[in-house]
Parts: sequence; structure tokens; C-alpha cells
Amino acid sequence: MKKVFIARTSCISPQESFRTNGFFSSWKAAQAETDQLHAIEPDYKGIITDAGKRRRMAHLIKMGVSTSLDCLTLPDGNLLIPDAIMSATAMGGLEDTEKFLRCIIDNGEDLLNPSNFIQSTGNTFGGQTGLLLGHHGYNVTYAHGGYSMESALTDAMLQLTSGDIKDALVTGADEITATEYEVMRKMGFWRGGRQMGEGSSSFLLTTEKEGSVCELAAVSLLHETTPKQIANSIEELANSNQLKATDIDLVLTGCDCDKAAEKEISDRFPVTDYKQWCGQYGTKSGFGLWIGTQLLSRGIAPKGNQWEQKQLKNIAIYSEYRQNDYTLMLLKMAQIN
Amino acid sequence: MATHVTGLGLVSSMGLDVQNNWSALLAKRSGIGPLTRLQTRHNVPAGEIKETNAELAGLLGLDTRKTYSRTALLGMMAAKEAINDAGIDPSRMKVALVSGTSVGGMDLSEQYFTDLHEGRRTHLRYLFEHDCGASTFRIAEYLGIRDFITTISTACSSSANAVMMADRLLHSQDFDAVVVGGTDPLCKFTINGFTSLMILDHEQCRPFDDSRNGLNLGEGAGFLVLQREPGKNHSYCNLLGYANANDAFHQTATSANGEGPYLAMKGAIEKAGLQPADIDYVNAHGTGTGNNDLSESTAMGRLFGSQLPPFSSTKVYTGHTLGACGGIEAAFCAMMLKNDTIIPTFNFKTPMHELAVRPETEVKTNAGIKTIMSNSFGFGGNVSSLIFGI
Repeated sequence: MKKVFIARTSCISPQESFRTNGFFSSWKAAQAETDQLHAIEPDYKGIITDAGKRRRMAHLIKMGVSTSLDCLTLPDGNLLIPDAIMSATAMGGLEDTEKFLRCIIDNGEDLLNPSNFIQSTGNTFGGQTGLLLGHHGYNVTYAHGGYSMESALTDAMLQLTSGDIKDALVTGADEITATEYEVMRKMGFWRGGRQMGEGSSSFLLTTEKEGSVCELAAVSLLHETTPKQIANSIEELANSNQLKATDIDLVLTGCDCDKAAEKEISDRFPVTDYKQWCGQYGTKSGFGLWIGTQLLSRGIAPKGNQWEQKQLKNIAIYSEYRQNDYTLMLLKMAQIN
Repeated sequence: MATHVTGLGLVSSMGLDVQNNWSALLAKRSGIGPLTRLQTRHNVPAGEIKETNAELAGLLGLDTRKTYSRTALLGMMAAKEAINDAGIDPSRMKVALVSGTSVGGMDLSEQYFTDLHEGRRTHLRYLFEHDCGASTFRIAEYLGIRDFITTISTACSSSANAVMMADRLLHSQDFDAVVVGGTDPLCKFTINGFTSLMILDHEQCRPFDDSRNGLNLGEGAGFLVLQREPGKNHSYCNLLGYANANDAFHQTATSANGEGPYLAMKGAIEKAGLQPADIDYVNAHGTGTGNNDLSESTAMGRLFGSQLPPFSSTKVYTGHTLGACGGIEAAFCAMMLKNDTIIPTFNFKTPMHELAVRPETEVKTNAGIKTIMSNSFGFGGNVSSLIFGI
């Protein structure tokens, strides 16, 4: 069975992550004073060049399309056309959905703007990416809470390992909307330091080791959810990839609610919380995966509240979404055979 | 590595189980009619299931004080029938669930915003069922499936794409069975959405007819159980091949030359290791819009040349059930193969003036069908074809 490597990445997040070293040039502490971490948006003009199309795109679509195109842009400026495009979004075009819904109700089902309806479907940024690339290959979008990103990655890995495709673009994106924030606020969700986040992360997955950043060795959805079982499953994941628990140099964690599981993991593994930088959203594990790829490719590691020069070899990414969806991913340095 | 279809579940405006759906199909009895349950100012026919959410919850034996979206309720009903039909027990086997939906729990979101607008007391918990994954989560919870759960949302090809992912999971990760399909409810959101796009017909839809003037919406769910071996109770047919292609032409319309549909159909035939001449019947996407039917016919013409196999659209029975149609029509295809019967379209009189193709208009028994294709096309250019055979 073929191995899967990550060849290229791109990320828009609440940090300086898009086409910049900003985030890794110094340690950025969590921004504790706010409960919303909004993405730092690039100047979209240079990425989505058609002004008309750009103007019509909602925030989520701009983010998703931008990291997708950026991820495929080769050093010579040409675009790589992948065999397949897999997208992931927990909430889809929530902003357009809400606009259209309010329009239906407030205007008594009259004076409707079809562009809100068109952009409300979950597959809009995946479809738009295909459209802008003129890509006729496989194109699909997963929308299942905290499993969305992992489902898209699993689909890509299944097709890559079987040899059906040689490369795939996988993008996960979600946006902050006022209503979702407000609904969660009324439930008391943002108390205790929780922060809502947003962003888009893209990865070019390939079976070519040459020139890749690292190996994506495993992606798994966990159905056992006691703290001990979750921590055990990290060890099991290591074992099933010919590693010992002690070979896991770092677990990047993104926990929404389950403090007990987080504690159990941190008792048994070196951990760094990735969620502090991106906030909570359904596809935040894409940001965690992006951090993992950057640490391996830049040869840096977290040390206390600093980055240090240190080449890690194996990084696990653990994510939990609203105490419902638990996932694990495993990254290995590509040079290790 | 064979993929056997070992169980079926169907819920549509024709009936709440496979048998009622199949009887209606054989009798050419459509479920499309005037809307009576859903409150909307738009006077359009639709494939509406008359049971309310509370009635559906009652039929499912659920606690009616709890909140379930219509999407979840329809999906539970069809998926439960499918696993009972296959005779599988998810608590004793490794089972995955892959569902497709386009609007998720939109009926409850509409309720929430309507209550707010009208100053009524409402419940925040309605909005927790909004996202597409929430409906699948509820279905999984109801069936006791825990090993792998996911949701695909590619508009009207959602559940056809779910079937592809299900097949990959079945063969790669040691699942004993994968329950796969899709579910979507009728709601104001889609009725107004398709109204704003001006593609809803105010009469019954007329797929492939020159006078066609748009689609009728419908609601329902269709689920299959896929297994690597023939099932305990049934082996309706095998999933032989499939492909997904992107039309990459327009966010909501299909290209005139049907490039995406052509590539999806061609890809599915190649994956199945077949030739176009091996296809005995095509269950077309056939929505009844000017754009879809012409584009799909053009693509079929490019693929099959002068040897166009018999084809029909079953949207005249169910309406366009959006994210559910791939699952519903896959179940129809399984029944057609098992019964060696072609279900026709109706409301067809005059071939399209641009391209004169004639769908089947009469029920054909002893049809000699061994290999059939099912098409589903969605917004965003996402088009998919599945091939089933016996």
C-alpha cells in the first residue's frame, strides 16, 4: 500500500499564517482578552483575480478558495492541477444560509436573492475551487462537525493508497457568524476562556515522497471517549504505525470541552494546545495539522512559551469538538523510512 | 472485491417503506401533489410526506418531547428499514454510516427564526440540529452505529457520493457493513431557493419533454446496506462502479455539452470494467429543468452514440429530493434489477426540439436488465454516476 505525504500547505487563521513566517518568527501567546478569534484575511485581490467573482464570494468561500489556490501555486507561479479535490466544513455557508432564511421570514417569502441560496450549500468553496481551476476531476465536500476534516482526509488517503489518484487537494474551512456565536453565548459556551475561531487550511496530499514536507501516517475517528481510552488510542495509533508511545515527540491538542481527556493526555505525552491560536470551530483540526507540518518542516518545537530549534520526528494531533467528535492524526518526518 | 447490496430502506411521498414505494412505481402512481403540510405562499406541487414530525417520531418509537429534525426522522426511518432488511446488528458488527444531505436540520432552523419573528417562545436547541452532520449523528445514535460516521454535502449528488465513499470504506477498513444513503426534507428554504432560481414548475414536472418547465421538489430518504459477501436475507445486486466528476462550468447550471455528466458516466463504466454497450438502462437525473435534461441527454448521446439504452427519470414519482435522490434512486435501481423491471417516466409527449430522445414511458417487466446506471448531478458542478448489476 502506498504511503501518503503532504507536499504543500496553506493556511488562513487568526494568526499570521498566510504566505508569511510571521507566526513562527516569535512565540504568540493566546489572545485571552477576547472570545472571538477572527481570521487575519489576506488581500484577496492577488489570489482571486476576477473582481466580479471576488465581490460575490462570501467570507467563508474567499478563505476556502484562497488557501486552496495558494496551496496549488507552484514557485514559478503556475497552478498545479490535482487529481481530486476534497473539502470539509462543519457549518458550510452559514452566513448566506442565515441571510436567505431571514429574507424568507422577514419578507414573507418575497424579494429573494438567489446568490445567498446558491452560496448556502456546503460544497460552495469546493465547487468554486474546481470552477476556477477548470478541474473536471473528483470533487466532494464533507460536512460532519468535528469529523469533517478527517473525513475529507480519509477519503483522500483511501484513494491515494489504493493508487486511484496520485494527488489530492484537501481543504477545511469554517467561519464565525454572529448568530452561531450568540446561540453558543446564550448556552454559556464561551465562559471559562473558550474562544470561537475560524479559518481555512489546505493540504496537497501526494504519494510522492520527493519534495514533501512530511508523511500523513494516519487519520482516525475515535469512538471510545473515556479519558483513559483516548490516551490509550494515541499509543495504539503509534503502535499500529511501528512506533512506541515514547516515539511521539509531541501531541498537538485541540480540546473544546473535555478537560479530563486533555489532562490524561498531558500526563502521558508532551503536549501543546494548538487551539489557543485558532479558536474553536468544526474544522480546527486542519489548523492543528498545519501547525504539525510547519514544526516538522521548519525543524522547530515548542518549549515552554517559546519556539526552539529542534527536529521533531513524530507528531500526533488530537482534536475534540464539543465533546462529541474525537479524532487523531499522525504526522511523521518524511525522511524516516 | 464485490460489493453486495444486502438491504434497502425507502421513505418518500409514495410511502414510508420499500414495498409501498415499489407498488406505487409499478402502478405509475406519483407522490407529487399540492402542498398541504408545509406552510408556504408558493403554490407549487411537491412530493410531500404527509406525516408531521411528531407522527414520524411516534412511528419510530422516539420520545416526542425530544428535538429531532425532519431530516433525521426521515433518515432514521429509511436506514432502520435497510438494516432490518439486511438482518444486520450494528451492536455486534463493525458498521459505518455515510449519509448525504443538502440542508441538514433546516426545518428546525426555520421554526426557530419564524418563532423569533412572530415573537413566540422558541428553543435554542432547534439550532443545534442545523448542521448537516447533526442529522447523521441522530441516525447513527438511533441505529447504534459508532465505528465510523460521516456526512457528505454536495447538494443534489450528496448521497450518490456517499455511496462511493461507503464502497471505499467497506473494502479498506474491515467494515462488516456500511449503511449508506441520504435524507432531505421539504422546507421553505429550498422552495424559496429554487423559486428564486426560477426553476420550479407550477405543474407536475415533465422530464425530457419539450414542454418541461422546471422541477418539483420532494422529500424523503433512501438507504442501502453494502456488504462484501451476499447478505443474510438478500443480495439485490452488486455495486459495480462509480465516478464523480466536476462540470466546472457554473455554480448552478450544467454545461451545454454535458462535460461533467459525460466524464462521470464514462468514469463509472471504466471503473466497472465495462463498455457503454453493456448498460441496459439509465436512471437519469432527469429533473425536468430545461438545462438539466438537455445537458444530460447530450452527455448520454456523446457516450452511447446511436445505441442509447432505455432510460427514464423517477423524479416524476418523488419530486427532486435533493441530497436524498442518489440514495432513493439507488434503492429504486436495486428493486428494478431484482424484479427485472424498468420503471418508466410519464408526462412525456413531445421530444425536446434540440435533441429528440425518448425516455421509457411504460412499465417493462422481464426487461432483461443486468447492468444499470444511476445519475445524480448537483450544484457546484458535482456530478456522479453509479453502476449496479446482477
